[in-house]
Amino acid sequence: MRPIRKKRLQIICLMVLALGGAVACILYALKQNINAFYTPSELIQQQIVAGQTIRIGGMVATGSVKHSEDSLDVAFSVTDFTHQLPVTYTGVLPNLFREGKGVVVQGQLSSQGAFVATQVLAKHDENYMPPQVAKKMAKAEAL
Amino acid sequence: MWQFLHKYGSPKIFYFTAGRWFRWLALPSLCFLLIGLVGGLAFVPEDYYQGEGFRIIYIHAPSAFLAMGIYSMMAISAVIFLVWRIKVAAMWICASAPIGAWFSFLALFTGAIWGKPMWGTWWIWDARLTSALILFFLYLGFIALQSAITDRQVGDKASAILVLIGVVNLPIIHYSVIWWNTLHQGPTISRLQKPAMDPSMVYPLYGMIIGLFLFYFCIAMLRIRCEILKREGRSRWVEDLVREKMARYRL
Amino acid sequence: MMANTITNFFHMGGYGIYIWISYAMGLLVIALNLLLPLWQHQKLIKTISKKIQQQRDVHETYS
Repeated sequence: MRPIRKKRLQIICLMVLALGGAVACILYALKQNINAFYTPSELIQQQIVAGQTIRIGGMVATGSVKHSEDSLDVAFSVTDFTHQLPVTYTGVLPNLFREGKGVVVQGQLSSQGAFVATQVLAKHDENYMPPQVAKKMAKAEAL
Repeated sequence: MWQFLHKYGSPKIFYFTAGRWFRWLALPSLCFLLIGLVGGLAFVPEDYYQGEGFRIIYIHAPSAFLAMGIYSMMAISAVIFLVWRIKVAAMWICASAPIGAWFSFLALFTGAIWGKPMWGTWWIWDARLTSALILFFLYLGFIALQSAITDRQVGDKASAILVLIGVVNLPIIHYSVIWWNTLHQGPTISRLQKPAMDPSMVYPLYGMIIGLFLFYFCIAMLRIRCEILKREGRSRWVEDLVREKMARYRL
Repeated sequence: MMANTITNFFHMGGYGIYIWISYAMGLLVIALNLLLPLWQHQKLIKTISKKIQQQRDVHETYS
């Protein structure tokens, strides 16, 4: 490689590295703001005022979903398996809303420490399998 | 050692090579796309959780892969252009950008369509979706910059540098779902791990990815031929070529 | 029986509209990506041939 080309290559590498470093610093500083939601454990460490709109994400705790009999009110808990947060919501739930599956809720903390959701989103994971395989896996887990 | 770069770097040789490669790649690309399309729509079983709706993955994930793959190839060409000043590398970048823009649009579009029935929303400002949108804007920015600067030499250099600046976005897109809390799920297939998808479902995904990448090479060949004609329109061999075509098509 | 299978295929368990819109857009993008450079190539050849024609005309008037 001729010296002039070597020099150009070095300059390019240096430029990309410097830029990458700068962007990494910015992203690190903004870490909390880039998160789309808090987990229930992260929520405890945050200073969230009641009435502030935030998102909470986690799993719908198994056995926690209670539908009201005469309205669209629903209550459930969001868990990350260390902490739980009770959530109330009025409205239609997404098709994929299920106990033991991922969920992201947007809303406000009430002064009683419960979460009043205005929007419920289902969060699915990256695993895909046919129903028969899923059944087999569930059986294997139960044993 | 770097001799081959200069040989294929000659626009005249590349024009004819590109035409040949297009003819070779077109059929395999079509075959792989058909395997992906038919397999993904008809032969793969439904998902235990998302039902039939998960079939959108066979178009969404491959086009997102391609959008990122095209950008990495543009970045490599940008380095080759800036270091060795090879004209064909600059043309390759120009030929790739519109294809990348189309496929990043397709990834965003099908993602929104998938998100509505599954998540319950078209769009959320999480790290993955936002960084993918930035990729789309990088492509548009590149196209705008290219058409704004009339001086070819300045334009090529400026836009190659823009491509290199945008390259930091690629790892951000890839790792966004790991570094931050996002509504978007993690990667289903990655290079180092076994795919998080049942083996019976995964082959159309590979078919689509291979098919789309071959398609990109095909189309880039067509576009680079246009780019060469645009830039070398006054040179002797182009005039000879056009004369020959004129003679063949209207006497 | 046959008709039922076809209806089911297009219905896609209720997700039909989402899936078909996605795949239609995918095919549209692929088709456009193929056609746009082909058209552009033709147009470029035409422009250059016109230029050659003009040069020839100019040449002929002067000679």
